Amino acid sequence: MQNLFFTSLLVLTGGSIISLIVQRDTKLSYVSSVFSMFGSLLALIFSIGALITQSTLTTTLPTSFPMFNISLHIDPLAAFFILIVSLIALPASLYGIGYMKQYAKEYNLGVFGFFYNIFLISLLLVITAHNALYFLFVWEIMSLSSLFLVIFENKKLQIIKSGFIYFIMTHAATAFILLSFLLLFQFTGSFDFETIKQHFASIPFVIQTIIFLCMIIGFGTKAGIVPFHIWLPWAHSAAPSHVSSLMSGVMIKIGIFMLFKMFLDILPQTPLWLGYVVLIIGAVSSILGVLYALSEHDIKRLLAYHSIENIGIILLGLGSGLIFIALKQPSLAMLAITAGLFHTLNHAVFKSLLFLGAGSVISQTHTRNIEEYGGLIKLMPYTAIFFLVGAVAISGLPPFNGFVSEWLTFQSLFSGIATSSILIKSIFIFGAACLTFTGGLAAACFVKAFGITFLARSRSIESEKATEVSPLLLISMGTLAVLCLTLGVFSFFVITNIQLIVKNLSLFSSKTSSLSSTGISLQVNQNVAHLNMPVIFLVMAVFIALSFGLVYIVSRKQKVVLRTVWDCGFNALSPKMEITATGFSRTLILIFRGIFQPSKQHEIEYVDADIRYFSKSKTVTLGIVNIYEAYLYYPLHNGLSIISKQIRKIQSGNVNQYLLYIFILLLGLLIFARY
Amino acid sequence: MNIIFQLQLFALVIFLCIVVMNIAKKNTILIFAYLIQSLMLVAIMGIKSYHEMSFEIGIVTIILLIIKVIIAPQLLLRIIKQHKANISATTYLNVPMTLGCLVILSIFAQSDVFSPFTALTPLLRVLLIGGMLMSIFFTINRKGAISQIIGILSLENCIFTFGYFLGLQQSAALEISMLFDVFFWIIISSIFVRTIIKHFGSIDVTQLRELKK
Amino acid sequence: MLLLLLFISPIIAILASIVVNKQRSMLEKIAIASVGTQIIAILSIIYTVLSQNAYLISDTFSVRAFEALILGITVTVGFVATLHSVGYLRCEQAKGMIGFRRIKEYYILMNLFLLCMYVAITITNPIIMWISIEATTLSTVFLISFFNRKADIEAAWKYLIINSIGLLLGLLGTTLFLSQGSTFNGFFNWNNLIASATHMNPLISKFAFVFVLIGYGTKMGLVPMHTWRPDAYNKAPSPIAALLSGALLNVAFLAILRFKLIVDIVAGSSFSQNLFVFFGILSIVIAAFIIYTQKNYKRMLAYHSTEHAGIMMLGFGFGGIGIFGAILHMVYHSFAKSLLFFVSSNIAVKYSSSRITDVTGMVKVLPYSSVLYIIGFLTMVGIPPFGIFFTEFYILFAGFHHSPLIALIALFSLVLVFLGFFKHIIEMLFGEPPKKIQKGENNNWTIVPIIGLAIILFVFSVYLPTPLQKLLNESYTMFLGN
Repeated sequence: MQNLFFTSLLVLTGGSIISLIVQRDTKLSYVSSVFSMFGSLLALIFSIGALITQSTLTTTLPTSFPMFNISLHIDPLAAFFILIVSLIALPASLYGIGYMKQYAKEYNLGVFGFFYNIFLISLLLVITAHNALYFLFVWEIMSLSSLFLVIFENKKLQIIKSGFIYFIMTHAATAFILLSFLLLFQFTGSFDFETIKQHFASIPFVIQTIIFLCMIIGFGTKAGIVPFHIWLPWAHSAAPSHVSSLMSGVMIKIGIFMLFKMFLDILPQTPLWLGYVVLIIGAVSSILGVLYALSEHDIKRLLAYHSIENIGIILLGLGSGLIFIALKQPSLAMLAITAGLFHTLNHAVFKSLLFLGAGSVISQTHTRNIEEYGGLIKLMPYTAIFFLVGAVAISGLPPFNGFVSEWLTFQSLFSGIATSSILIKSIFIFGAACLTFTGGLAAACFVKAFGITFLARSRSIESEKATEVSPLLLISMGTLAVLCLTLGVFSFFVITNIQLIVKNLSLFSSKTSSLSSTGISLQVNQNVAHLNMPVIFLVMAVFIALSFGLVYIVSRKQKVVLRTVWDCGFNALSPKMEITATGFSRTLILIFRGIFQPSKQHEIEYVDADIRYFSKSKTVTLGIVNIYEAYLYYPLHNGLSIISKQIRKIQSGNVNQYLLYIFILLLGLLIFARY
Repeated sequence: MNIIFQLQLFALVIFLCIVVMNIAKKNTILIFAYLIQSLMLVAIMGIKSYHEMSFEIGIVTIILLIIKVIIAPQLLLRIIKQHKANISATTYLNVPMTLGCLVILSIFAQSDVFSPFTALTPLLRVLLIGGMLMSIFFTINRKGAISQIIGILSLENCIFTFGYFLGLQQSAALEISMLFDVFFWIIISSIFVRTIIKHFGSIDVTQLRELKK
Repeated sequence: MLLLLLFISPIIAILASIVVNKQRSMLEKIAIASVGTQIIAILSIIYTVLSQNAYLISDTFSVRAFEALILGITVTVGFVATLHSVGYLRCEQAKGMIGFRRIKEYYILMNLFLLCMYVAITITNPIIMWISIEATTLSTVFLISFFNRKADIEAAWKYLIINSIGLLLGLLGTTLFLSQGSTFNGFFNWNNLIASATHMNPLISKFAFVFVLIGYGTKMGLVPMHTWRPDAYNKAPSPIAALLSGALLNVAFLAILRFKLIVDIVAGSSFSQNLFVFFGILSIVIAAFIIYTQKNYKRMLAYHSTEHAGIMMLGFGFGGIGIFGAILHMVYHSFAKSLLFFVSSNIAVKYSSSRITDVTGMVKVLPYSSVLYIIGFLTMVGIPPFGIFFTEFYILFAGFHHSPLIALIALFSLVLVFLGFFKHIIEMLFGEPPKKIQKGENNNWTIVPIIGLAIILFVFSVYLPTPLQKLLNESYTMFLGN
């Protein structure tokens, strides 16, 4: 069993090396993807096996550096995340074979394959790391390899800038994580997670608080919580699409994984305030994520903001769970954590699907601007269907998986509202309100995204020329779409297994969960709430079949005639008459003026500059302010620059001044030495 | 006369030379002050070699004489004559302020801070430690390249004397190697002064303003 | 015997080079042969040290684990520097910047420089060590003013004055130490200094150490004695800057550490440790801020050297595993910093400018150099899999035990350095290159040796070979025991 895992690592390593070797030969560029797929497949089989057997594997290897042991630990929680990684990596790598062909002439595919495989290896290693120094090592390698993937199209300056922001924030986050580990060592005497687990209770409360905060900032930045999220839209939109799907679907989940692992497994007995913080962060991130997604017209940035929103939803689950644990209600906690974990899996699946769909559209239309899409449903029907599946899933509508996990999250929030304390009640109400709001806005946003992209007519010449993408890409998208449906309909099965994982955590070893699945339905709190997905699916399927059947019967004998429609006297319908994404979302932006601070600038060019009567052209520029960049990051940057410029003045160019520094220091130190 | 008293006299002269250096306006006076300093050193070493009847120290004395008293001042004087750089350029502090600083440094030198140096009488402490601090001060205060060279050489003299008064026994070979080191230093720095004059047109070090930050 | 070989090969190279007239290739062959002999000599010395614990010749020369380590680093950097200089000087001569005479002076002075460093490392007498370090100042001052423009002369003059004052202070400190130690025919060595340490006056020793620290610290480039460094590294030919940073810095550090061993016995280790921490954190913070808005990539590297000198100081100041981290850091820093300097000389030759804004599109113009530059950058900011990740970790770790607040400030400064360096390197690597630049590497000589250096750096980062481990551990115990 263990051998499977190591073999998969080996295969991926082989893939990376071979990729470098064959880099010149573009025909062999698919070789590294094949290795990636094979490696992911092995990891997938391994993780399923580990979950079935509910086993825990541990290995330790010493190295030539002190305090640095390669220590692996695969418990069911880790196996679950390995499952997520490999489940997404498989279709993404398949997609990559076809997708990367468009870059073959300009860029070096071999280097890409090299870093891609290393990225996959590092993802697997980070999940299984059990020693703090080793963890930091592979964590940084994960960030580094993903950086090179993000800036792959290095001829475009915007993409370089995205990589820059990404790497800086991820490195700063690592500093926080390092700090928390160092503090942990100070008080527990070890970097090994097992040992830390045993001694955590002896750490003073203030230090515990600092450690938790550092971990939230550090891992949260990787996950993409507000306000440390600004790298996410840049990085996920800059990378090639299947890398975006990996990053959005999998890598930010690593941040989530570590939060789960730390707060539930390694450092249990978290205080109540931590649950509050996580829940509120989750609520705020989900709302702000979806709001900014509404204002975006770059399809990948839009999807990236939705990732932030979904991370918020996952954290709502985790936060509720932490609160319940602190309130000594383990059964409700199990419900909440299961919700969070299930949503992690679901988001990985449908977000990757959406990114792959977006990638297909971009590869055909060569632009990321939604405003230039349109009418693609006739030209790329399969892509449209798969994208629709993803859109419906992310909006949380049945019969897909998003619906179930959001339902579960709501259930855990509602259970929380049922508690007695006013403070906790209000926090849960706030969370539930945010979630509701988010759900609605997400649906609105995807109506915009799907509608403007695929429906009506093409808005630009490029998109008129689009054709369906190659079968490889379609298979990968199709697989994920089917997976969305399957996870939704057979959610009872998946939930049962996830519950087993949660039960495996030492917190819950002998407890029963509020969530149970009897037969094919899910029940919360002994039938207070009840969800039967297969039945819902069947009902919907029957209903849709009936509707189609009726329409067919009625119109069987009728002929379809093509005529022009009355168009109010215009000569021809043009794409300019269609609704634009800007128009769609502008209303909402104006409603939330406070957050967006929208601006509107008019520029007019007149025919005659003196007699300003007839205008030649008018330009309206609509903008919104990114408040995080404006109020948090730019002031920081300016402050540092000012200090830096002041300090640089010590190097004035005057040698006497330099000697004076030495002289004064000398006198000072002599006095110091004397006393 | 007591030998110790004689030696202290020499130290006093060295000290006074430094004071004169700080006040002097012309480069030639600086060089002469340095010359007298070195002469004192020669005298000290000479007396030591006579006392200990050591041939080696005698050789050291002679080399000291040649390098510091004869060659070095000649080199520097030649530069001054060739480039007419007799004025020592301006200093940062005017004369009264300079003297004030010197006084402060002397007080500092004989203060409690340096009391652990029990081998030295308070007077010697002022003369030697104060002398070193003043040499550094001199180097900082002056804007001319030649002044900076003299400052460094004077510091070296003071350290040498300091070591002697602390009772440091060095083998002659070491002393000779150090002297040769100083010799090369003087040659190299005089080459540099010439180059500076050629490139920058004056020996004012504040003209070297190309490199900042 | 081996040491004799080590010293004689540069001397023969110098003499031979003086004789050569007009034939540049002869000079190159002499230099390479000389440095090759030095490598063989040092590898044999290291082998002897490993098998017999020390390599001693009478009481005059002594090589133990730590000295062997520094010798190894010095000769590796020297070797790559020599090979790289061959290509570099050919390019500069092709551009018409220098002539044959200058090249001859270069090789002669570089060999002299290496010789002085070897002597300084192995000799047991503090005064001769001082003389040889002073000699390195004298031999490099002409290398700094190599191109003989106004700014070069200025840089060399400042270098000369500041280092001379600094070294004289160091001499004063040495004198104070020696005046208390027992004599041995007037010819001291480290061993009997340490032996007589218990008889020394603590207060005088403290003064002496202050002088030594400020003195040799000037050579090492700690703030506020670092002011010569940006100018000197900026104007000197980059292989020389690499040697200054990768080799001379370590020698100065060695000098300070030897005196630290003595003063720790006399006055207790907390005195020197406090001073080390003070200088360390001061250097790190000031260098970090200056790097943030730096406009010249060579000066940036110079401040970066100051930063890392500060980190090594902190390592020793914190004690414990920080010392191990500092020693290992010395190894990685020398290799990576010289790597960066070699690459910057390629950049300077290609773009004819030292300003960051003038350099764009490096990945297209100098592909191999760009990769090496990235490797050097990643190493220097402590990103795995390159070694400085570990050493910074160890030092911060020791810092947490010793004084958490200082460690926190150090961590913040390290992030700041990363920010600044990363910003500048991104500006240099990507974008469109200027129109008139020819694409492609300069010269095989300027690339192949550096690739070798990068490979060594990478290998040592992931795996410490047993000989290296043994040397590190022995050095570590030597400093820890006191």
